[in-house]
Amino acid sequence: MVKTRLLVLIVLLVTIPAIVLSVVFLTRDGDGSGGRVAVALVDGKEVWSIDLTTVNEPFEKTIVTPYGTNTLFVERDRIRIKEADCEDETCVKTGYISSGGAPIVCLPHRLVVKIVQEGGVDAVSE
Amino acid sequence: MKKISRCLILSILVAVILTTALSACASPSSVEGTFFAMDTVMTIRYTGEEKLLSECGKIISDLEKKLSVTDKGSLIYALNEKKEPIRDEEVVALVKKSLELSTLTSGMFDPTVYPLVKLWGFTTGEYKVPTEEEIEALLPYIGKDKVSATTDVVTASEGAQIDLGGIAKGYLSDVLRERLIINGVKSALLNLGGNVTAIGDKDGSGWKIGIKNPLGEGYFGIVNVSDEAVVTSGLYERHFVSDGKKYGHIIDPTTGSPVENDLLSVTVVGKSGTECDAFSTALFVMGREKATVFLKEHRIDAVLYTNDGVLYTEGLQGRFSLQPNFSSLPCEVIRW
Repeated sequence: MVKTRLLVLIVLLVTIPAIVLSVVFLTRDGDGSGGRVAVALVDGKEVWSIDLTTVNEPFEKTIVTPYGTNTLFVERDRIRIKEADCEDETCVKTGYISSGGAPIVCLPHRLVVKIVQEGGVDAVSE
Repeated sequence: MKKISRCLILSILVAVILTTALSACASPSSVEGTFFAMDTVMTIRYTGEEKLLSECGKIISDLEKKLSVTDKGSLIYALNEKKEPIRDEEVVALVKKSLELSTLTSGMFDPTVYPLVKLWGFTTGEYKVPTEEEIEALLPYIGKDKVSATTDVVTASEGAQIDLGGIAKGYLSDVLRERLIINGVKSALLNLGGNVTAIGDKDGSGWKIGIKNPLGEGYFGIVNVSDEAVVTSGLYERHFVSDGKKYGHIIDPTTGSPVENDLLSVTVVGKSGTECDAFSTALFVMGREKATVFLKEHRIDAVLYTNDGVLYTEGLQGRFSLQPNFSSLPCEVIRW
């Protein structure tokens, strides 16, 4: 009887933390897709994202920020800013990004478009 | 039976407590913040107390207010436009440091080059190729001897202007890093507009920092760092094209014109963000040959992307690698 109780105790002590911890770790930073996810952030907050590996037909996506509007052109595996009503259009001139390298930045609209790639770098020095 | 269920409840309770404790240990709060300042976007991520982020934000905006060359309320603006001496302790120390770095690099890094930067339109974006006469007329106002920095005051001679933009982000990264470390942060990554600084490690291994491909999108190599800054200078950052010729924003203080040599980008890796920032600019101005000599002489770690391949210093061996799609680039080690 004592043995059974001890066994139950040990089994539970091992399995419950194991299950909960696996759930916690597997869902953390949720990039389990293995894809190439483009993320648009305004003021540092994510406003839109898409897995670029799932894009079959190119399309446009408009991002309206409190500071102005940018139109993204989304293709399979790559993305660019096609149009923007900012004064310098540096973001449009940046062209396509396709890897987790340097992001596209529209400073006047506080917009950052970056690609989050599994196994990619932590930052890019530029 | 009762005993078994009691034991079951007890064991579940213990397990839940253990799990909570373990999860808390495994994922201490990870904080990330974005700031738009100094004409760029800055991201700070660290493991630690959330309130530190607003402290970082304050440090950034305070420094920007002091150093901005365009903000009419800044100390630098007052010095440049009204010749008002600077007595702010922090700015005086930074100007002194910038002059020391200018001496060390034989004037290749020069905070007084600002009148030329303006002449070429890099401050406003209204670019133009000036005439020889226009450049000649400004050269007498360029040089570290046009600025004086004693222990408590900075003054500039008539016509001279300074811009600490060449070391401001590097300096800021040092200040932020120090603040985070003092407050117990053991792991952090600061990306101040491509000027990257790491504190500690990432999950026990170094941080993987890409180096931007100067000819296009993506990064050509990766350097593995912990507790170091990685700063890159290149002409892709800000440039304009006139009559089919490309002009970059880094001015050679000796000619008064944008740098034109055999380097496409220079990346410096080191403990001091301020120094890395100044060195990356200076080395870029020097060109491959002089840069190599300087790196050897001062034992500075760097990666040079030249016209015909990549060079990196001995200290980065085992820590720097080319990306697979750049593996055909000739790659050479600079030995000390």
